[in-house]
Amino acid sequence: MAYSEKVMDHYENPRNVGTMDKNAPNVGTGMVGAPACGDVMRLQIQVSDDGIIENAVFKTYGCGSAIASSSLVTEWMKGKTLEEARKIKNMDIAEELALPPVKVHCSVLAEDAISAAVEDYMKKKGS
Amino acid sequence: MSVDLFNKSYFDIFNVPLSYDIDLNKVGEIYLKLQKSVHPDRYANSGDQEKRIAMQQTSLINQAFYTLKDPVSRAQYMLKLKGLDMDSETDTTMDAEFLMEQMEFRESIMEVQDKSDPLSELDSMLAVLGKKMDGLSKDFTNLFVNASYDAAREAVRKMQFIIKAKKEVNELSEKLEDELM
Repeated sequence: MAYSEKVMDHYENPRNVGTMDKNAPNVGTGMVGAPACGDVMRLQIQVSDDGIIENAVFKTYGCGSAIASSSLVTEWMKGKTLEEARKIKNMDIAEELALPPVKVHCSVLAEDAISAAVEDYMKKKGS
Repeated sequence: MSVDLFNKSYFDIFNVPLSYDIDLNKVGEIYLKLQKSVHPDRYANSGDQEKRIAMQQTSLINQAFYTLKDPVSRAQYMLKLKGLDMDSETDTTMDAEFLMEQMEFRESIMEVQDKSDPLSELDSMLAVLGKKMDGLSKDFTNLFVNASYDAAREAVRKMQFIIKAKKEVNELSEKLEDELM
């Protein structure tokens, strides 16, 4: 399959690959997986006291589109509030990366990872 | 062979019970017999409609055979017969601990190349994955028998990750073996 230039760019130079301490109180971790292709994605956010995402990192085992989708959202999330980050939709990701229809589920994975990371952070905050 | 084939479940086509633990040898034998009985060559002198039906039957029998032969697609098909949707690509929430474990496992596959004896490391990884698959198969069998279909579906979804990891280990093994030659 031919990948778009943007996918190739993120695939070859992934942004913000890394790991944060998942037990830290200001870190939210989202783990999601796509059984159909066996992709696993971990997205982590570091949130300031006033609810701004200061940093975002990811680690993804999957195809180029899954890696590019997660790489892209880490860039997009930085500096956003949690609410703003949650508004990132899979179609925005798919459009930005020019994903073909068969790869749109990779962007769904990234959107779900955002939700999971935000929810994990909120849960920590709430308790 | 009657047209009735089209109204049967894949399990009924091969005359085996609706169960994960089917006798695959028996299925294979019946598959060959069925294939012969509907082979398009047998219908060389028949009318167009008969030929068409024979071809449709052939492809149905093929699909039924390959669905039952593969453990994951067999399990998925069993759940579909119970009305569960297995096709959803957009359902990404899963047991986080399991996913974490999968991620660590994938990491260790990537790191294996730096080990002194990567091939034997990969072999023991395959053994670990084989055990996991066996465990999930047993879980699935029991959950299905007890009609706990949602939990059975979770087990199948986990199997899909194990299969993927297995594929990656095998690919890396082949790559390393090629490099050694």
